[in-house]
Amino acid sequence: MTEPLLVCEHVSFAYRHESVLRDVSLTIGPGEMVALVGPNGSGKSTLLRIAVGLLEPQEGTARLFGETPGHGRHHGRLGYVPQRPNLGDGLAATVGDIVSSGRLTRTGWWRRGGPGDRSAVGHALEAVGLVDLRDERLSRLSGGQQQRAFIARALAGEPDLLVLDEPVAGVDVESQEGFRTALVDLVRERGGTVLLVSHELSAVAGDLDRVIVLKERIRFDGPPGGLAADEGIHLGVHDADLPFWLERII
Amino acid sequence: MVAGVFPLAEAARAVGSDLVDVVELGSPGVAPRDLGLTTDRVDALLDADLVLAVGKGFQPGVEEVAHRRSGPTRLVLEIPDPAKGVEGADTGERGTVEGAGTGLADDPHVWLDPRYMEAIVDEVAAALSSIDPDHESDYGRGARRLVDDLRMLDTLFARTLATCERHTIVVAHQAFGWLARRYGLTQLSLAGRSPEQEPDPRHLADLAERMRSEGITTVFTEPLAPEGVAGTLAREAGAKVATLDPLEVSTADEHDTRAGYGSVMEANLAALSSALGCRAP
Amino acid sequence: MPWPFDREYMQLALIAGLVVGACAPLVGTFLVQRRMSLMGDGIGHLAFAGVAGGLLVGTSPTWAALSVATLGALLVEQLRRRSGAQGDVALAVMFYGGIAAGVVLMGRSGAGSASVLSYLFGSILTVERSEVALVAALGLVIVVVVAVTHRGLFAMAVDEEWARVAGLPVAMLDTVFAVLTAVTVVTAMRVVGVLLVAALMVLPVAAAQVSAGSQRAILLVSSGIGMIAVVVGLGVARWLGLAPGGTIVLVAVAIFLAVTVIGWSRSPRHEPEHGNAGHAHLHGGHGH
Repeated sequence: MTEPLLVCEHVSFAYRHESVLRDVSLTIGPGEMVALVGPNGSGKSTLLRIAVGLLEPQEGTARLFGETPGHGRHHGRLGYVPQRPNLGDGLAATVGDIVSSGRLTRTGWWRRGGPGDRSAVGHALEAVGLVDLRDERLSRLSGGQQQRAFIARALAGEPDLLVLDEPVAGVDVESQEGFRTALVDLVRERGGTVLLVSHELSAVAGDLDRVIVLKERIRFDGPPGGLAADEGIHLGVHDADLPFWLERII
Repeated sequence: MVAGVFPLAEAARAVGSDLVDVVELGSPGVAPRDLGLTTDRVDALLDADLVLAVGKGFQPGVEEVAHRRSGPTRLVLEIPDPAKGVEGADTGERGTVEGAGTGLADDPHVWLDPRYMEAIVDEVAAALSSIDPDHESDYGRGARRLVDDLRMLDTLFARTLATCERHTIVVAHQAFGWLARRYGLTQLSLAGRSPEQEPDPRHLADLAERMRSEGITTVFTEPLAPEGVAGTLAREAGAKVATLDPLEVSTADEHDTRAGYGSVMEANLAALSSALGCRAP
Repeated sequence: MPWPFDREYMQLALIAGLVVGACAPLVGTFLVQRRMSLMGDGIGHLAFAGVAGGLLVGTSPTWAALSVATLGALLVEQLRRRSGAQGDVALAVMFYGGIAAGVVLMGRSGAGSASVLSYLFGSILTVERSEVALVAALGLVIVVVVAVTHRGLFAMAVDEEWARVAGLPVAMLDTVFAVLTAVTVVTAMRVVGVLLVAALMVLPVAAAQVSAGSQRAILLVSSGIGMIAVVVGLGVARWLGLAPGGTIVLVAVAIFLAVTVIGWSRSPRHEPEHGNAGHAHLHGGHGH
């Protein structure tokens, strides 16, 4: 394995006195498709925010592309899909506007994009199946379509590592399919890495290389097959299965 | 020609009689300071053969536009104080002005002194004559007529106000400094230069105390200003409220009855006379 | 030039007005997108305190307004950043503090109410050549800064956390934007006055958003609407003898109402025509 993209070593974090993460260590290497799962309040969102530099670990260290997350020159290599932002009517932007802004990680915030940037935006739209809705206003899209637009924004930056926070919560079937295609395309075609935090894994269950189960500490880290062998759990049979097997494993 | 405030328009009308078309800025009942500049007012100011304005920022918008005219403009406050030349002519004592902040230098109401008004009339006549030399004698005649009236008014004021028991007037804002100086009165004012300013509570209490101890019977307000704080002061000091007109603008009534400078000033004298306990001459 | 711009003062008013009409909505676009529409109003209140302070100490009211408004905008930015939900109250405190300080300072300086009114409601008919030059220069600065920062500001308006992860200098852009807002308010103050500044920043944007789709279109269309409001407003004010600042804003209001009503009649229900039937439209429908 070459240089790892994300390394967490002995990371701990607490809100006030309530410990959320305790001594978490993990390494994500190139070309992997990894799911980070856990029940509500398991600290998975906190871990993700530490990984992208929105939070600093209180103990331990996090390294992203060998640098401190949020500092350094790695922004262009990272694609981030936050939990769907709450967009009010105030924002009258088109899908094209949103996806184009994803190129800012590569071009710099002050520069106008060139032909290369436009084609990257086009590819990203294609990958999530939103080419036809490019000029449609974001606020007039369904929740799933909006989510795909935000994934396309991250893809437009042609990231080496794509980090997604609850990307399929409340998303329709067609969008789930488009979402899966986009992720698989990134990993298989371009050798990218995906780290995904989610409740629902059914959409991508068959494509995962690795599952990390988190509840304050890491409870399981290995291929989905291992989870089946150790615990007798199969991913992706049914959406509603997830909470059950989480309870059994933790 | 265009005049910024009512008394200047009066002077111009008297001097020019039928020969001059006088436009008074502002409509009856609107305080001249509140005058919003609209394009027709700007047009009138720019196109007039002569503009008469107060000056020193009394109506900043008017003065700014007047500044850009090519034609002549007369600012009344730039006319020298006639009393400087005739020091102590017929009033032995000089009145005093007390109140928030400022003295005569900040009081633009020079026209309330009939002698100063005379100087304004002369200036208007001179300005009109230089624009329209053919009618110089007409302007001179108009000016002399008005000056005669002003002299009589001055005498009436001086005689009446010399007989008073008290010599202190309490007013809403410092508009009567020139009048007070002329006739040996003391002006105490509630607010400063501008009638809209809110007086501070400490000043209000001091003033009420002083009114009680000096037996002052009246608080004067102005026709355009709401009674407001003057009413509060009057209640506090057990005094009554009366009207004293600083002649900034023609009120609607005056337009209807064609009351001019002279009759408003006479009404002012009557109000002063009853407030100060004067014996009518 | 033809009536109503046949006189020099109308031409100067027109130039100053066009600059402000074009620039105010450019900045206003981001105020609206960041749900800070009332920010312009608040900064206006602070600028008023600056004017009063300037009159009191005898410096130029415009420069005093500019510095107080800029400081205020930066402070508001800090408050917003630190106090989160409480930020709302913090803003209110500053803005009312601003107008109250303005009233107190104005009383102290003894300036006549006329000069106060000219800042509250604008005095576009008395702008001089030198002021027009200053307005034009400030306008150029605003356009250039918006041209450079609009991509970053847009990304931040969509999602500030994403922008931070994407490596945008969020704090710096916020600061630049706060200063930009202050400069715009003070530039527009002379034209429509402190009380109506925000209207010229927000109304054209609101109108543009009804029809225009993309970010670029909203910037351009709102700027155009701002200029139309100025031209028509000045013309109507000349025609009917009305106060020009207020007339300009009323025209902007009229444009907004007209565009909104036309928008309604065109698509009574804002259902997206695309996508598969039966989707849950979590954010479906564009309000109204």
